[in-house]
Amino acid sequence: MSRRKPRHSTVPAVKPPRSRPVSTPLPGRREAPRPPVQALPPGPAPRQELASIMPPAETSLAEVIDNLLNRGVVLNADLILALADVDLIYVRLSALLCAADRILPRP
Amino acid sequence: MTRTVYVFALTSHAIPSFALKRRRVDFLDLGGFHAAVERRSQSPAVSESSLRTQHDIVTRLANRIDAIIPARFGAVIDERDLRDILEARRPVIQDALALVRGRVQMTVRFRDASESMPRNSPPIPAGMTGTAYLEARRSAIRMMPALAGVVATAVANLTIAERSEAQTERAPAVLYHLIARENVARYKDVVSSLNSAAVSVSGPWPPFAFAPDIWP
Repeated sequence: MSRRKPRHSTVPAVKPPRSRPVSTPLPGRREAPRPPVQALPPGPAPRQELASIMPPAETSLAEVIDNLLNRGVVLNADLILALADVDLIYVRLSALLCAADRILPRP
Repeated sequence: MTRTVYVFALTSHAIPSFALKRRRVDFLDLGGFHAAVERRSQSPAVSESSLRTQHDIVTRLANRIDAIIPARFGAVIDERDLRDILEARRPVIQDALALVRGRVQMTVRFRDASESMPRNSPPIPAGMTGTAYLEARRSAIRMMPALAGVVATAVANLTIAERSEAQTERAPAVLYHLIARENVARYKDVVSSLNSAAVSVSGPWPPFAFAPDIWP
């Protein structure tokens, strides 16, 4: 069973395009801050579009080093307390974190 | 018997396993999110090749999955420990994944920031304590250039989140912005229209700078 569209409607079939300025002025110093603008309709972008957004070939070594060695979540932090180049205490933070989580009462 | 894994990233969901430059990437289901891992017992040696390979793998993950938290290089960990840590920090991880979903990182560096820094130590005022002097010296050294404020204001309506790293004696100041994937071109246009030779923008990158701190 197919639905029919109503023949008479007060809503035009095609909305006239909104007029926009030809050149977008720089936001910032002269304009008041505006709320975030979504340029595209909401929803996940197609996979093909995602794939083209970050081409790995353009990555400089400086960026790679900054991203991988200075940033990113630290999952296996270990700590060695040393004095005069002699390692005294080795603390495995993963074990410490897990133990603390089990000892402390859960809310 | 322990099983160790090398963690590339935490992800909102899994995709089929794949291999890149002889590194095989599998996914561990952690209940609500996943970890992209390689089964291996030792971290790869730090070399340009291994860094580039890992960066390419994380980039490939970010291109296919809309919410990922990259791991820092060298994350070899016992699988059971990994599950325990992430279980203990589940809310933090989930909040971070929600923040980065559908977004990418842009990096802005300020090239001449170090040149504007004081080269010589300022004279010590009479009667000033050593602590006060060192604190004043530190605040003078670790600061963001004024240009960073101009950039931040210019892209304010595109920015979801911001991290910054103040200039040091050896490194320039850096701004990291988290923006929607579809706003990358607009972001670059805005920054380049500032027409400043002291500013360089790069990206989009996976959100390395927006990984949460999961340690107490």
